[in-house]
Amino acid sequence: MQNKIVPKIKPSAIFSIKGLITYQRINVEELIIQKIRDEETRNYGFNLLVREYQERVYWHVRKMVVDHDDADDLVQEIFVKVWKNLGSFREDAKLYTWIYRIATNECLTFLKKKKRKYFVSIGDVTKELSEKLDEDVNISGDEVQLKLQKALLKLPDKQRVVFNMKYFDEMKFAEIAEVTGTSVGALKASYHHAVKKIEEFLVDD
Amino acid sequence: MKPIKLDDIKKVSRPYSVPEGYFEDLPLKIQTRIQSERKESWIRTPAFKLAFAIAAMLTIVMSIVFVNQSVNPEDLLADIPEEELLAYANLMQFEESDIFSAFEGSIEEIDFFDADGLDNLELEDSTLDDLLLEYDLSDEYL
Repeated sequence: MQNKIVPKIKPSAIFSIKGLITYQRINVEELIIQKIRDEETRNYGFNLLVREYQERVYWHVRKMVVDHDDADDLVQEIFVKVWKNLGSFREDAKLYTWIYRIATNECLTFLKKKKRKYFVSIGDVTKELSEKLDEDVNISGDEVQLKLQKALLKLPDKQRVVFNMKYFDEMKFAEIAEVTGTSVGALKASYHHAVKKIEEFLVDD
Repeated sequence: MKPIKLDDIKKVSRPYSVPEGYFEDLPLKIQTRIQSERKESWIRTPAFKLAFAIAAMLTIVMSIVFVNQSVNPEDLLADIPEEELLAYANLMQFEESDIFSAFEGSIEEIDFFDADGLDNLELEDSTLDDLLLEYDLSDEYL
């Protein structure tokens, strides 16, 4: 018997644009899960998954590591991990929060290794990433954006990842809590502090 | 200085430049990486490691046996009784000159006084003369 796909949103939400996007996203996610569940269609399902999430994962990673080559390598590594761990994906969790969790852990591990590998202090890594920002033609022309990105680099990595998910990806605190395994209360406090620090950095610079 | 609020800044969620066509190529790159990891993971399986270890052990054992087998031919001949060597020479219908020619170049190494087996060789005088001349022993024995 074929599994029926049931949308997990209220019908009224369908009439808003955001609701439509959410509805579409859930449908795609359900389809991917359905394909992955079946051994015969797993490859096709994974291909769908990559095409659906590659850009979001890339930008999530890129904002953390700044450099494109590092981001490219990490994104590939993340999807290899996703492929290897498809069997351990619990279907009660959302697919994209599960992928975000893998991506976030990979980013934090990468940054930790970077600091350890070159015996450099956090300040030096911030400086290195900040210089990479100056080299990026897309952002170097926009003074305010460049300032904001440089200010973000001054945040601790864990706080920065939370800020990025809330501010740029507009994720709910409950979803971020699923990704990071932190309580909603702690995340709210972390985000609030991050915003204050960023505004201070922007004034200081 | 005038305070800056985050809300006053335009939100750009994709601020950096990305190489053209990057997202079109990415799925293929990921597939390729998964394929290569699959091959590597097969090499890392316990079954492969065990098979490799057994093959390596067999190679080592066979090498040791082969090296031990390739002993000096003179040692092998020394183990064969003299009668059998002579019987073999008769069977193959070797001439005395054939036997001596086998020692060519190493005649000095042969201790004739210890070579008791050669006592039984019956050489014709002419052959003996030829041999003594050939090996420059005529002064000693003629």
